[in-house]
Amino acid sequence: MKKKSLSLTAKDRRLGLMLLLPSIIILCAVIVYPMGHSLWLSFQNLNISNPARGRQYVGFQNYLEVLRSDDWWLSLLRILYFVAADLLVGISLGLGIALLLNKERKGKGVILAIIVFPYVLAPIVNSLIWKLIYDPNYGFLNGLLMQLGIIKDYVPWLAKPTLAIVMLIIANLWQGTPFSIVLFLAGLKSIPREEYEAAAIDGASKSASFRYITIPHLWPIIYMNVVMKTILTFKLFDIIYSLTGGGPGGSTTVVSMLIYRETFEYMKFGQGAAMSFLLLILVLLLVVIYSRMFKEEEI
Amino acid sequence: MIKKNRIVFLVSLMILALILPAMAQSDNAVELNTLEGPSHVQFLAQRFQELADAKNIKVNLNVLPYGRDAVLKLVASFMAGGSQYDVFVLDCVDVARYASAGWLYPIDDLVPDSYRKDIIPFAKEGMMYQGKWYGLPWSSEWKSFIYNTSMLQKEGLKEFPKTWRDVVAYSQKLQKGKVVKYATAFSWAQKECLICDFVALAATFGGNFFDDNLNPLFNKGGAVDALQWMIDSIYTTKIVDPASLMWTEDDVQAAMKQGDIAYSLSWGNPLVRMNNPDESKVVGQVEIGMMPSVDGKHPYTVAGPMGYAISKNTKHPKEAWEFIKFMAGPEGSRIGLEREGYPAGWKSVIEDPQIQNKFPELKKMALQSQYIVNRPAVPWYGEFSVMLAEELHKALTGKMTAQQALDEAVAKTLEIKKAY
Amino acid sequence: MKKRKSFPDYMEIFLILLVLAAILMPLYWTLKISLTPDREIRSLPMKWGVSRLNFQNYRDIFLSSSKAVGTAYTFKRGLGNSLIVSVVTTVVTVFFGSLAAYAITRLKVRLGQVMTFFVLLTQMLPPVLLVIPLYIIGNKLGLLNTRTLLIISYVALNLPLCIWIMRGYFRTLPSAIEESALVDGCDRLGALFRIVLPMSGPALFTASLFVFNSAWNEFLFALVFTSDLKAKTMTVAMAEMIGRFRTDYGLMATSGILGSILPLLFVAFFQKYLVSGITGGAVKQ
Repeated sequence: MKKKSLSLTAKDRRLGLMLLLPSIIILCAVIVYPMGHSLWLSFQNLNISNPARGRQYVGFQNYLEVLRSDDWWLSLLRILYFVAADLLVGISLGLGIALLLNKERKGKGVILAIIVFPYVLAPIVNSLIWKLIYDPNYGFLNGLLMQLGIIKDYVPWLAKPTLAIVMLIIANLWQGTPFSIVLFLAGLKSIPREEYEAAAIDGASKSASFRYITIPHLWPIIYMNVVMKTILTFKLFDIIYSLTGGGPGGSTTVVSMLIYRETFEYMKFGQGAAMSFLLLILVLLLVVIYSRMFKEEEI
Repeated sequence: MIKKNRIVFLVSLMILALILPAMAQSDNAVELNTLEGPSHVQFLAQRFQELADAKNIKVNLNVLPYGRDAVLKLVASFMAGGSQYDVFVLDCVDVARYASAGWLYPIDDLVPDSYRKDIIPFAKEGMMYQGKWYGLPWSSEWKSFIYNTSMLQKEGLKEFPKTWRDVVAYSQKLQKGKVVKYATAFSWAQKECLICDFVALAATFGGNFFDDNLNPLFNKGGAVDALQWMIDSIYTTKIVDPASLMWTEDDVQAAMKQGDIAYSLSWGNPLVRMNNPDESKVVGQVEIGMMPSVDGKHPYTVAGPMGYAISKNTKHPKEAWEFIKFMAGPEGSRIGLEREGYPAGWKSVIEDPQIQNKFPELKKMALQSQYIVNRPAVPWYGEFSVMLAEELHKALTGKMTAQQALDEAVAKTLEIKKAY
Repeated sequence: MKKRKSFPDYMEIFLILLVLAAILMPLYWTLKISLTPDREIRSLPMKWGVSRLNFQNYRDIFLSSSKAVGTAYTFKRGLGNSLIVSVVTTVVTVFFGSLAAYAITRLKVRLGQVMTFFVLLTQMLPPVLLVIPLYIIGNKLGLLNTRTLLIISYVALNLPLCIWIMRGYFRTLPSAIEESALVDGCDRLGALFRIVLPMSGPALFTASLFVFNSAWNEFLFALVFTSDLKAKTMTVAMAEMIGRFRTDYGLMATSGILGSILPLLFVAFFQKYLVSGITGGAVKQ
């Protein structure tokens, strides 16, 4: 029997607008002005600490300067590497662990609380703890590895350029994966169990039902995970600043670090704003690419 | 009828009696707002109370985290008008920038001659921009050179070596004898601490940073030798713990307190912490010495003076000046030193025999205070420092040679200067 | 019939334990630091245990009073402020967010794409850029150093992402159930509150956790907008433990643990909503 699909009435559309209105008001009031102000700043050459120069309207010059600077592209490469590693490892881990936890078992609440702990730990404490963990002389990582006999002498984890960024990725994964796990658990829960039962009756294997039931249902959740992780990792700042300050030798200087320096240490608000908007455009592009990849009709 | 008027009269009198004193008080008691870091809050509260009692100036203290983030708060308040905070403590590296941005109240005309004669030169430089005073010195500290005497004695030495060559030899002996794993560590993480150390070491090699016209000179002479020495100390002579590339001053101090290194640089009055049994395992073993140098004749170290300054748009400039005089003038400094250990920036204070008797290490520190350099006071210090830290780090991690890194740094400095 | 535990089951248990260990180790180290006397925090060789349990940090925080205002007391007050701010932010954000998400998903308001753009905008723009204009406005409105200003800012910052998460989950819900309800005479709003939202346990849990945590651990706005105990949050109090010369690692670790307890309680309490979802029977009808 053909299912009648309900069409939307004018009343429905009005209701929709009303439901959306409070959110729009809040957002416009709080976000739009500062954003617009920043956008306006990005077209100026403004150094807060040099008022003698004053503000000069320079059009797109800030943007061009940024695009022409080697530092920008290098820092971009670094953060892309970071994001790629984070996505590949983080999503696989997140999904894997969520699958493990999906069954009803005793003590589920406790397990979940433990798993979520890294996510809710205050970033400032997280950074300091990882600083201690990675400390060459007194750090726990070296202590642990030495006791397990894996290394003979301590390793200065954050003092070697190529190693430092990996250690940062690990520290970030520790804090970020729990949220992926929660997203996936939530997604797994919304898959109707009858589908699995039906498949089992039809004789499908576990991996088949994983491929044909789980993944399609989870597709939007995976997509959400990918987008969120990308956005959050691009923004990553605190832990990098605390642990390496962009070093050693500039090897962990990522885009967020450049923006912070430009805006805050050099007081060049115009350039900082331009960088931020360039970053925004870039991430937007990435998200559009993702949405095509995941075949979502809208982003 | 008369009764009603009487009542009205009495009531208005009562109301006036209540209002007038309040009004009178608010006329006299001026309120100043300031920000401070979380340490020494008790002492500051006491001092503010004393000021309120003496001059009827009430000071509201906002506590906030110490660190670069706090500067953001100050900057935000400046951009919102500059009257949120009347007085605040300013780090020397920010003076040039804030003064040129027009955020500081010029106190040059208010400073009496006696102050000008009494102030220790490096403390004065820290508070000045383009020859004018912008603040009074409050915590005028430098990096002292400290060493572990018991380790010295183990090698049969009576005095700490004065030249870098001897220091290296001594360090290698210590390491060979397994007294320590590494003789020393420095705070060479890619942050401001690296610049501080580099400025100090460059001076000990006779190097200079800028000439009088702010042209960069540090890719020649002593500065290059200093950087080369730093690189060698990690990779060739191996007397410096490689972890130094990750460490800030906090970590170096911890290592010293644990007895894991034999000597290091330390801000302020280091013996307070070294002799605190709750924190330190080397109580009584640490002494303050003079900085070693390339020939024993340049025992320079770096300073980081901080002082009280006034916001340009404060609503109470007179009271603000009274406040900073009270806290950071010679008398106030003396109290700060005696009660809380704030390093004073006035000759009359640190050369006072009474004070020296109370704090014997000050005698040694007074000797060092003759040989202090400040970091370059330029309005574009922020950009300069970040760039230089990265270049130095490139050399320290072996990506480039010392000469290359410094050449690049000089080129970039010129760009920054031009763009300003 | 009791299922016999087979090899894959043991494997699963082993993997779960491995995961727990990886997460727990830094947690254990944090706990250890909070209980270690300051002298021994950095000592060689690394010990798994603590020679002398030092509860001073915990005592400092729990027993501190307003008489001796210090970092520990500031942290205690900060916890209270953070709690109020975070709870109000979460409730307001999730409420309006759900409404908006429903509007976008079911009622096909055209702003769906715009909303995603807004998500990116609010998430990507570094807070440093936003904070100074907001400070100036807050100053003009006299809202500086109030919890209200923080709440408003946090709601605005988190609303887009909350809407986006809720929308993501709403789209996975088959509209069959609502449609049958509508046919039965229910109106759209009723459908939202009586059918869609109860089915969205997992989505609500996820969004709430995200918003709560984002508000709970936010630092920059809290730092710049607050100045005293009236409104200072926990994160700012923690930052005060980093001194000029010495970071109080012990106190910081302690505050980290105490500061995590509330969100963890949230998770433990509400995790049953993670479990509720589309119940098997409903769709068959």
